[in-house]
Amino acid sequence: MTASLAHLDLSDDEVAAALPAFELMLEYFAAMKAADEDADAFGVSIMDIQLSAQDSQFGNRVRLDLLNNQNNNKNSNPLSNLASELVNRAPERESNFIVIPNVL
Amino acid sequence: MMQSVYPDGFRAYFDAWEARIGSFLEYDAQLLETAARQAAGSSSLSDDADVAGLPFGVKDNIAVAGMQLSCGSRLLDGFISPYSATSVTKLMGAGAVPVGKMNMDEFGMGSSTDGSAFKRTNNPWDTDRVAGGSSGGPAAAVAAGLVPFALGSDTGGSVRQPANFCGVVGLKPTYGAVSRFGLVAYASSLETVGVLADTAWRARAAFMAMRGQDELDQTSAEWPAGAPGDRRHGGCMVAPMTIGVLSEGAATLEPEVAFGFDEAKSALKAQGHRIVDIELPSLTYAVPAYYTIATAEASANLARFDGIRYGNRPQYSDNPEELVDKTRGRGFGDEVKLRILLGTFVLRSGFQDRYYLRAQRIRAGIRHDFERVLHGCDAILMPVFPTRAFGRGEDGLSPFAQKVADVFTCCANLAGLPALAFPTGVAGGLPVGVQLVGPAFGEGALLDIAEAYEATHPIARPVGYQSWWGTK
Repeated sequence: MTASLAHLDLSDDEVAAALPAFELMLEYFAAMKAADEDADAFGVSIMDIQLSAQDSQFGNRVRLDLLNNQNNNKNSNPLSNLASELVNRAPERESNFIVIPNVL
Repeated sequence: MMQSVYPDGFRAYFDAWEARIGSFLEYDAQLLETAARQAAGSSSLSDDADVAGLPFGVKDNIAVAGMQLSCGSRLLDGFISPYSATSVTKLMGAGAVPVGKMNMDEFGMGSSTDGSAFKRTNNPWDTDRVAGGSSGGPAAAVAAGLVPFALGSDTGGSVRQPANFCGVVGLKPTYGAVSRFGLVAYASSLETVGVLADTAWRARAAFMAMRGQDELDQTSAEWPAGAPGDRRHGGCMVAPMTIGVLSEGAATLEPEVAFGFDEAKSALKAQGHRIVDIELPSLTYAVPAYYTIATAEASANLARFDGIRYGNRPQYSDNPEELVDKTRGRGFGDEVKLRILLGTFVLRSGFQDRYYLRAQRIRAGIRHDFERVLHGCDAILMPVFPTRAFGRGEDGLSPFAQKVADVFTCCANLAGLPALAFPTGVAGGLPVGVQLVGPAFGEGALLDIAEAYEATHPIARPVGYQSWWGTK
């Protein structure tokens, strides 16, 4: 699953070859768990340290990948007609689609 | 200048050394020769001269317009950069001349430069040993005198460790002090553009030329007025400083490295500095936290190398997904693939709390630990790497051992603090050295200490070295 997500085109043999080093590092990473209880190492419990937004205090901030069409026809936002503007400016178009060169 | 054993001049010197060490991936011999001739013509360097007229090398993950930008990877073989990094542009504005691109571990992932897809770089002190990494090309070239300074990048020690292995000065600036625009991103929250130089004076000159805020890098910062030691003192100490000495981990050091560390501690004390013992217990967790964060950021940053946005694509693919997979599968080397796999894993839903978010908390704890110690001293003296330059094959270090050995360097990246590695002597025919870590924007104070050290302990050079660039 991880190999597939990483898009590395790894064969089963290559995955098997990479596995020992991968597992060794994960085992090494697991040692971080002890830090939760090790206040002596940091002078304070790391669970009490206030992380900044960049430190992912709130985890990843994500949104659903959905189009919001509510305001598309109201022209209240200068960007609301951006899509049709882009299509209109395309060098070549078919109906409501931009024609692009074949890259494959 | 001493009588040259190269009557044909710099070109013969350069060719002889480069054949032995293999530090460049691309260079302009004419520019180098012209610069060497000009440097020989000037009797001494003035403060005003700084870097003007001097050639410099650039690690091959930093953009120079019109030159290759391979990052040591087959995936980018043949790619020519259409623009220059801000650090390069600023140095050119100060009159320095970029003369070539230098070898490195692929995408900056390694400690030997043997991870380059193109060639090996050998240590000028012993060509059977590695130059260190990932900025091994810049370190070897500076150590051999082929250029007076070079740019590298430091994500977890990639400037300081090769500088230490080759016996040159290596500066990792405060995070944000130098623009990262034009540096190919590997782990954006950790890495900085750094300097490798033949002297501390030269490292300061290059750093001063390229530091400062850049509108093209939102994480860059204006250099604060009145930052500590922000003036040159020509090797004369203004006032003794308090230096905290980290003795933890001494048992893990190779005897020659431990001896060199103790010698440096004694010499700094003899120069009038107040030496105090300090502890940084948080370092126990530094390396796993560092590799968790670095690999997570790498998996995201290297997603752009897909054959569509960047990267050499295969001649044929059935569909876009296969194109991406083939590009990456054929282009990346084993170490890069391993780190992308690790980064992808630690960011997966359900694993983030266990790995990535915990690592971020540890990172904050390490920053806290450094703040505590630096509240009571001006700088921290630490080893750079547990061993001197290691060999290859049976004499080498395993990839895992190389990662564990990053403990003394990666902590400064996690904390975003400046760190300066400088050579202190030679043990068993190889350079040994130390590093100083200081408060944010405290580069000047670190350079002051190193420059004063150098004034009484001149940097040793490898056999066959000749000075072409003048010294200060």
